[in-house]
Amino acid sequence: MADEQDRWLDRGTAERLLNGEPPEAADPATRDQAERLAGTLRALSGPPPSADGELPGEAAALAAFRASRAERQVRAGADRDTAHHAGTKASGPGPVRVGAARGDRSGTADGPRPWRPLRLGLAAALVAGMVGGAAVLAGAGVLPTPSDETRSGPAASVTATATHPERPLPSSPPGDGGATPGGAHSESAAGRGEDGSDARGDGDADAPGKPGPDAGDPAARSGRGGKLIASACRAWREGKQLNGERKRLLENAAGGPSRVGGYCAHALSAEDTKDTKDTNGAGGAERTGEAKDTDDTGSGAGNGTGEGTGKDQGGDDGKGNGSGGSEGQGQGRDRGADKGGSGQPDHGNAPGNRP
Amino acid sequence: MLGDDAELTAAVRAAQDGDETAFRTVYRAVHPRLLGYVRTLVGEPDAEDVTSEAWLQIARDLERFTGDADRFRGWAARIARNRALDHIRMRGRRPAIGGDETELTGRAAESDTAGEAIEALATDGAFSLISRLPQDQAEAVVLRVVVGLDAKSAAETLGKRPGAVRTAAHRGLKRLAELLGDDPESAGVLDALPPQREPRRRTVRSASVTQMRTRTQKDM
Repeated sequence: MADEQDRWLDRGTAERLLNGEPPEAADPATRDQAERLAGTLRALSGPPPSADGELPGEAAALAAFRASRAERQVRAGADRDTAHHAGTKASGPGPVRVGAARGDRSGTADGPRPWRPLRLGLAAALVAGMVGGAAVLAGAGVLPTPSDETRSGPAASVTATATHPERPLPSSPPGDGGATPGGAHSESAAGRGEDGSDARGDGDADAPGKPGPDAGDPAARSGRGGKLIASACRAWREGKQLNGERKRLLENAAGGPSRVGGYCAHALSAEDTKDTKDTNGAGGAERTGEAKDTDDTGSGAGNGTGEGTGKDQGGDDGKGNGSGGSEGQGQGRDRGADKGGSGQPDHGNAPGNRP
Repeated sequence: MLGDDAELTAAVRAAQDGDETAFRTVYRAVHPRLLGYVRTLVGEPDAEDVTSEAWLQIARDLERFTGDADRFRGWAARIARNRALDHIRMRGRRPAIGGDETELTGRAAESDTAGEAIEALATDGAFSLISRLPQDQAEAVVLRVVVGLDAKSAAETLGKRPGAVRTAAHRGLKRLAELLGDDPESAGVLDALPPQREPRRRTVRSASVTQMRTRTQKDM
């Protein structure tokens, strides 16, 4: 048999077939075989690229494409931001900034500056807290398994996030960009903050007496998966390149690459509430506030998402998590740092109350 | 079928500059090929998921890619291959190659018209033949024919020398020709394949639309 093939299927003919060219067999006997083989190969290859009609997976790929662009822009924005700080005061809103945040800061002139180390501290603390939350989520089976990646939108938080994350990023001018936050003023921020706290307050007895996110007992919550996710989140925020493993972990946890921003904002801010449940969304308000602070450089995505999450899951756990302390902090930061932040806490709270 | 290289090259560049439409173009041009390749590696049921994962990585790393259409396909295929191997490792099973043909035949039943069924059968039949080749031959053939790589790019994707890949592909074709001779059933199916490709294209399109819909609903 093989010999028979050898006669007509020489290297040249094989190359032709492999290149998708029609076989050129002169002999009618072998031409048939050649045609059949060519037909099989044609059947293998997909249809020629079509210009219209979305293919399966296209939307997800496009979302990843957008997210990675947004991420890059955030990074660029961050660089610019540091530059601003170094030089003149930061009045120019980086393209990435979410809404009012920038403007507010510039108003405070150098105000924000001193906060930085603190923010970094908070960020670290938040991450620690996040660990526990993620662990709980994972345990509860809320986090999608790797294979789900594209399809699942298990956690309400994920869904909510989905809508916003990229939008704010491309960043709009401070004025309108703040859309969601509703151009909050610092005052309003405070007001909302309170609301939020009330909401939570009801439920929660224990919650965190202390405002300090760091105060949290990360130990209590720690879990490995969570830790990984948290550190991945942090790295993501800092604009570091995540390796494939961590990226996937993070994306799986977030429910998709485009949701990472929101997920991380949520996750990192979860620390704040100190409650393990946090991760579930409760206390969205407080967290959002902090989240922003932490990522000072401000990823619009993070913030936007934060809200969403708060609402969805707030239903269950929202009330439970309240803490007086957080209120205080949340507000303080909001004012100091960004208006945008204040707006969001608001959203988080509202939902919390409803249920 | 590989004539649009210039277009693809341009689309890749534009996508690297952030053009979403260009990215879609790239996706539509390359995805079916990638899917076919992945299908060779992991089997039909998982191929789509694995290919999606590959695309997530492609989308993220696109910025760092340099080269033309051919290189892009090779690069994408390498990513897809890595994802597929990860997947196989995770799944703890051997590659679908040489294996389970039942996986490949189930799909035809889902098609709603006779024409589509034949199309699907033809494709499935072809893939099931491919799955009977040794893996190196199957990969070499599919990278050349489905992904559209030349011997050199295929070799890079596989981490082998071009000569080795050429030989593997050649052997694969011979083996395929033998199988076609031996197996009148699959040959029959393939003979039923409509001569022109137009209807085929439509089929695929409508199928994909359906799938998209279900997926979106799930997402909601």
